[in-house]
Amino acid sequence: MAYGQLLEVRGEDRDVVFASVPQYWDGLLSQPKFKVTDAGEVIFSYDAPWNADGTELLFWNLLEAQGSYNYNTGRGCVELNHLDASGAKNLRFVLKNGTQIICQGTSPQCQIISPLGVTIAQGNPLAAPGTYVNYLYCIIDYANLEAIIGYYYLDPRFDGSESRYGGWNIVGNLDTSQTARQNLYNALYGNEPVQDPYLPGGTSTTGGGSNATWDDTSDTISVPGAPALNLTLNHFISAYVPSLTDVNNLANFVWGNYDKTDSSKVLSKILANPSDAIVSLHMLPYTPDSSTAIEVTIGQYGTSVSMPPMTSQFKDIDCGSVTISPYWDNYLDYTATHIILFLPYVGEVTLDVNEVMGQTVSVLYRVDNLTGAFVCFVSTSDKILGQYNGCCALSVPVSSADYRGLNQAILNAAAAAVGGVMTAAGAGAALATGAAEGAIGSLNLAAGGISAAANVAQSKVHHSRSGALGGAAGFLGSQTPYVIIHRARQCLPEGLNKRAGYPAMITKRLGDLHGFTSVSSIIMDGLAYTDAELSELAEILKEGIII
Amino acid sequence: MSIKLYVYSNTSDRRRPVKELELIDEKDVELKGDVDVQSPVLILTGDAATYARANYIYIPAFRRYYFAEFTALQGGMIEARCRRDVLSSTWAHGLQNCTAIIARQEEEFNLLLNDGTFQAYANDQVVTKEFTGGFSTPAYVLVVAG
Repeated sequence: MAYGQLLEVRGEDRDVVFASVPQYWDGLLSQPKFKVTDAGEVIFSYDAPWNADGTELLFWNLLEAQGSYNYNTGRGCVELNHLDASGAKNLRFVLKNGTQIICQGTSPQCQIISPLGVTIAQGNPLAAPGTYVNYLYCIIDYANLEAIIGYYYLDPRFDGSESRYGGWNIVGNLDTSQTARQNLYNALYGNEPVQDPYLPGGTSTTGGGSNATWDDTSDTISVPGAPALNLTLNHFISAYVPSLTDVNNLANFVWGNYDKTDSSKVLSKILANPSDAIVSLHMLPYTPDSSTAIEVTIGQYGTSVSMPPMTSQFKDIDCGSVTISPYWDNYLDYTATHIILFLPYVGEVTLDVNEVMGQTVSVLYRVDNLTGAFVCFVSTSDKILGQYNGCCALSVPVSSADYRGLNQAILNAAAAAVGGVMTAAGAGAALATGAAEGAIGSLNLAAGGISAAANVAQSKVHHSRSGALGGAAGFLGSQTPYVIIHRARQCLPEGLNKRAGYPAMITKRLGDLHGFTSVSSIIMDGLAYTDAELSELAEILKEGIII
Repeated sequence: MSIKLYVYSNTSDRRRPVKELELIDEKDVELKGDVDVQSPVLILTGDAATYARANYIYIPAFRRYYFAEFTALQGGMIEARCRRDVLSSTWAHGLQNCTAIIARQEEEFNLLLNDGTFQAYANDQVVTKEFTGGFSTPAYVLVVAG
């Protein structure tokens, strides 16, 4: 038999036989039978009849030279070596990794000699002692053997021509290579390609479209109310809304009543420093709510200076609204429009055109009178577009330490604002809120030969106009919000719709239309014309016709 | 085989499925050999003056309209080289009943669809709109201990 010849599988029992009957087997009384199980086991059996005097098998004469086995490195070898009627029967398996499994049997059994741990199910017909075993049947379970993977086939090889009297050898090679496995698989199941390595990840399926909710409802997100707390009510501090005169009067009192050398100066008794009387003095760009003036007390001591006390900690500054109306009422209002909102004490913010077009945009500052901290709500009628925080208090230093701290804060704010000045948005980036892909000029219109225009809108660079404008800097800036709207100006040739039409993307019967019409897709049923004509017609319709 | 054909002067844009046609001549033509229905070449009797404005042919038997180029031959013959006008031919025989997805249209359109067919000037329109309110009169806030 030729070396490496593919086995053939026959019958429902999947008897595995050689693809061609070796010449050596002609006339044999029986041939080895091999079966392949689903588990990948190769089961072989052979009936080996002995000659009349039990000295020689009437089988074949092929064999290997005694004692030597010529098998390729890496190939498994199944060898059934029967020495003589009463001698040991060796069953040796040499696996791909060189591991040898040697079974030695005496009639009627064989057992594994090495290696340990390999399970061999064996079954021999029970025979009376002294009788010859007429076949050796052995099942090798390779499941636990690392070298064995998947399917494999026996590749019997018969080398040498020396017969061996009194014994017979069957040499088979157990090839566990992937190729061998595939060959056997093909023999068993027909030509199937090597398994797709991606297959374990699953194949594509249809899906989608069945769980859509079509829910386009929106919840209203309203500007929240001010917190109910009022820190001005605690007795550790008192807050007032003084005039400049009131401030000066208090300053005179403080400095006039602080003299550690004069025991009558009450503030000297309770303060280490005259400025300790003042927790904070600052200006806000609006007038907090207050009530009728009362005497200012410092600690427990009256100052004889009257000021209106602050009545609430928070105040809303309503900056009103601006309506952003469509200018073109076409796609230019969305893809080629850029809207910037300037907010006092914040700086500029970019508004999403899709959120504000056709809407009334309102701005409301909610300020903490004690600190000047605020949240600026930018909103439409049904939702808050953005919330921006900052500080609008201008601190008035009442001591040298106060001044140093204030100065440093101003410097820090200026340093943080450097990066925000004149920041070029870059192509397309600044228009993220307004320009979608395919803005002006990005589409070719074949009809009429109008070429694609330059994408002017997307190439524009949009500049920042402010840095951080909190605190003192904000006092020097604009006190009223405003919007800056950049719109592209269309260059529209007269009669463009008649010569090139406008985008439609509707499904219509051609006979119901008038004027220039270009088709995206059409099913031309009912037209008894040649394929070439219909192809030409499709091109004409895409370029545009005039109905 | 005898077929009837109509010779026209067409003054409409080739993109119109229904063309403005002026009848120049009508003929009963005897086909003496093989004829390419898509691009027939016909020899007609006629004079150059009559056919000077002719540029279009309709052959009812072939269900087709043709753009035609006429050449005056000697002996009072006119050669008409025809090329199919597939638009008019199919329009007259069913195309107008077909339903299509219309990409662009003169009268029925949606301007909110992104249209890149016309250009924009380089100088944007810039408008500024001020809000109706803001910060106004500043005031002191004094916080004292106690």
